[in-house]
Amino acid sequence: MTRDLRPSSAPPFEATAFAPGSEPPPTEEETLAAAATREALARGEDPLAHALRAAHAPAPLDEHLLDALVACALDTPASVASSVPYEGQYLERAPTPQERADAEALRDALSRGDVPPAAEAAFASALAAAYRPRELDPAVNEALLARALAAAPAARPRLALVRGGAEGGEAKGGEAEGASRAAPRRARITRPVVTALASVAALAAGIALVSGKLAVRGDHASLAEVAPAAPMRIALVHERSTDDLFDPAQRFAVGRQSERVDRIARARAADLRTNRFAAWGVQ
Amino acid sequence: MDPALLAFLSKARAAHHAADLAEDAKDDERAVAFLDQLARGPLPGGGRPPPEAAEVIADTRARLADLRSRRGAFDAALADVAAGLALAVAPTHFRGHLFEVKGIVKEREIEALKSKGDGPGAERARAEAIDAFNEAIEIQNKVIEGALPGAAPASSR
Repeated sequence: MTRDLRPSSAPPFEATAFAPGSEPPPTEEETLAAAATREALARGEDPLAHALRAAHAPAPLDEHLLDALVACALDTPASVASSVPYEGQYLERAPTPQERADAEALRDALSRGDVPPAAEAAFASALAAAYRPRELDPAVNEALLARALAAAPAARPRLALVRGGAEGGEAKGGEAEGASRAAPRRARITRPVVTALASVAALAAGIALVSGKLAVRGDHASLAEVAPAAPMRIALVHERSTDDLFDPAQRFAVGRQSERVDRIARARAADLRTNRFAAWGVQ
Repeated sequence: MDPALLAFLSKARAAHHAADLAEDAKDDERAVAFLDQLARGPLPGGGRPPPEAAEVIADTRARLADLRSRRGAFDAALADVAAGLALAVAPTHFRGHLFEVKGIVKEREIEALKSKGDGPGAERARAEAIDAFNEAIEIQNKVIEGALPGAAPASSR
């Protein structure tokens, strides 16, 4: 019997099978979709059809693809790393725990500005430094400067240390003066460097004085390079006999030790102050 | 100039002034205790003290010898002198003063031996006292000659 297909009179669609020969003709949309499916199947691009065909009649696996899949599955260091090339593509595998740890370490090192030993990491660090250079540490800058200046062919005038009162004498400035003049004159170095080196020399003398490691040998000792035109002298008073504090013509009275110890203590306290001021550059 | 030396000198000042107060109070035993503590205490530089510390200890030993000999402890006093001489080895005021104190100690010992009726002992102490005083004179001559190069050397007896 003929179904009345007029919309107003069409009954609601029900998923019921049509009797043979009673199926309605396809719509235009259905026709186009069917054509597209047919073409996809012909090209072998339909994933469902492909899977069904592979399940129904599986084709032999390509040898190269098989090798790539095995390499990924084995995941050994000899089998290359994270990806296996196949027909212009790369089959990516998941990173191993060691690879994750190495990546995190590299990220941390780059964030700290360290240079990891690996060449790849060093390259990455260089790229990061070129893109976003960090400020140079002042201590590193000073070390580089000192190294460069040490290699420069500059004059080496001596820094004269005036030995204070050794064996009963006061600071022998005359000796230091003569020792300074006796040194051969050499080429000058630039004045800004001279100023910097003079400051370094004063600081080094102060540190050496505090640490107690400043040793005077003979008539002079070299501490730093300074310009010949402006030699720096530091007069340091050293430990010595206290005999020169007392009149040689006066005997030591018995029972007057307190007065003698007082005099010794006061004198040495003054010597310590003298040395401190000298280290600070105050003559 | 080591700060440890300054600390030691400050300690020495305190000990000697404390001994002064004790002597003023007629408490020689307490004065000896203050000075003995200083003489036996730690020295800057350990076994090799700086000259200042060595000379202060030498002078302290001289004072101890004087205090102990006044109380009749002559052997202990002479031991103090020997300890001081071991520190003040150079011909300085301090070494000369130690020999001077040794002579004084021997003088006091002479009186003590005489009071005991030990004539020979007293004579030996007299000879030792004279030797000590002579040594003190020689040393002080060297000190004078060293400080005043133009001065004529004093003739010894």
